[in-house]
Amino acid sequence: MKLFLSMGWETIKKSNLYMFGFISSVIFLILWAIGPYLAPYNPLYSDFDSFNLPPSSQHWFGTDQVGMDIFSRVISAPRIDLTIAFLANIISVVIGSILGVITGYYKNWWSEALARILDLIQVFPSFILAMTAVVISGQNIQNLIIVIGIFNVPIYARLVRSKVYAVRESKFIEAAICTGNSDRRILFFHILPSSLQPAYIQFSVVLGWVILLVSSLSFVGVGVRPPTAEWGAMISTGVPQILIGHWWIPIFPGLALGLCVLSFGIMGEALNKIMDPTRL
Amino acid sequence: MGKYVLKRLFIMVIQLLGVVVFVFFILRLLPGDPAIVQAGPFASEEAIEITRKEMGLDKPLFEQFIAYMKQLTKGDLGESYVTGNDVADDLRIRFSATISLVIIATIGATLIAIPLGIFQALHPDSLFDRITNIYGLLAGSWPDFFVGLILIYLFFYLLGWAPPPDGKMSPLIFPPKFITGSYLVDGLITGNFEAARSAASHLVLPSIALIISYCGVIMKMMRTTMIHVLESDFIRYANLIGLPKKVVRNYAIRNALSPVISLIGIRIGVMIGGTVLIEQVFSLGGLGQYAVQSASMSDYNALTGFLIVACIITLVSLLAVDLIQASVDPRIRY
Repeated sequence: MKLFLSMGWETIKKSNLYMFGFISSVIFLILWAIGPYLAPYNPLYSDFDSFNLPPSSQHWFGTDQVGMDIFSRVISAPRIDLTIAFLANIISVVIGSILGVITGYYKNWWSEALARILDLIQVFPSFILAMTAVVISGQNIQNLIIVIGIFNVPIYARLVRSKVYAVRESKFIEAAICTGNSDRRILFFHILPSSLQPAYIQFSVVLGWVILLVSSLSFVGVGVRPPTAEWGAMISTGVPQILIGHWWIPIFPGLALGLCVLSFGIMGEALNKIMDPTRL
Repeated sequence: MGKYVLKRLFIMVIQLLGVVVFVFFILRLLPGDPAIVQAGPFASEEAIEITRKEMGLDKPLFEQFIAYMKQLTKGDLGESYVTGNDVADDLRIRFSATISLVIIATIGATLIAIPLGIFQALHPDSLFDRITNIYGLLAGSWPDFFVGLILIYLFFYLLGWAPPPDGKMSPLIFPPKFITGSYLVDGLITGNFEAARSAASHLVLPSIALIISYCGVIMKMMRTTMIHVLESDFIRYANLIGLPKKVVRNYAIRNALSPVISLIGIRIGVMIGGTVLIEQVFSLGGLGQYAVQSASMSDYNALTGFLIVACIITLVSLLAVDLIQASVDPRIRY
């Protein structure tokens, strides 16, 4: 672990890009933990004396059409966005890894069929699937997490499955079979631990995608509802405003959202590099 | 080739069946009760019970499935309780607005991304390579609807070059006769060039937004595969026996295209999702806006109808991509 950390730090230090991604990710994680306490105003307080104010020294990012301080809302938003994204992603990783191991290890018709179904789900417009599913299962944050978590299962199942194909042929599995371990034991004690690496390398990248998905859903009014401070919902309230030139209402939340996704993406790439330095 | 096309069509029929079954079960197995959604937020217990009977939700799952399949084979998607029309009709009217956007954006993104990727791969680590790499990194991080918003601010509000995002065409112009549903095509067919021009100008910004968002991934893929191919043995061999540079380059491009084309196919599904959001921003009145409206009103039939249509569009575009791929790469045909 210590070796891994020092190696990781060496890799990050060498590249400006990784350094940028690392610092920015850390900032977003800090905002997730204490963002609402750092906010200069209450993110849900609407001040009736200050509608649509452009950015100024009092309101760094301006105020929106109901007088809420945009800066406070932008830095409070990671709380909800990252929480949903983390929980959904954990559901996907757990179920996806298990399904990946099972479909990779067993070679019979039902595991084959399961693998095909997972592949098929991945081809479909995930945003549309998620939107439909959230509406039908009832629009609340709990269902949002479950739905997104389930629809991202194939990503991890696929990653783990392809790793299992390689691990399954290795000598130590052969040895485990020869010494008379049961199928289930080989599966969960021998193959699973050595097949998880691609899944947790990808975790950070998928986290970014999930944040994009959550904010897209909120943008069309299916995810997190206003006035909760959430990037997608904030951009959505700014759509009519940008037509009359109030650019600061949607632009700042949008920039924060993109920056967050970008940093987690870069961190994913950095992790890839740390785990496998020979990669491009 | 003919044999491959037949085989691929057969696979699509199976996939279609799979989609229909999948959509049915995913909707039934999800937590939540469609009857409550369909009956509306203020329905009483009895009203919900009646709706449940009407929708056939009180019958066993298998019977429901048979009824649903029967309905589908007739092309009947039920009635939308928001618009009061047949969902199939609603979708038909809006279909071409969405499809024209998806087609324009896919072709545009492909035509821009592939040459960029090839150029990058031929000149790695040049200034151009670095700039486009930064673009590739940024493009995937910002949602397409946000890109659309920025374009609106720049080109409509600040510069005044683009029309306002007020629909498929200017509301002041009399729309052309309904033929395909796309005002651009209908206007051209009926000779209503004013409408066609207005419709075209209303498509420019949404298409650019989609192209900006989806170009990056394709470009990155093209660059990586091209670099990979350029390092492979057969290219080295072709260079060593002294084939002209241009010939070698074309060998490499043809080999690198195949995985890129299949990536484009996979991205089309994502792009259809993105189109939903873009339509919302530009109020283009296509399938996407209809879906969002149905979602916000919890219009069950309309939503499921849209979901099936979106899945079918995805499958058809996958088919198209596979056929294109087969014509580019003979290894797939045989």
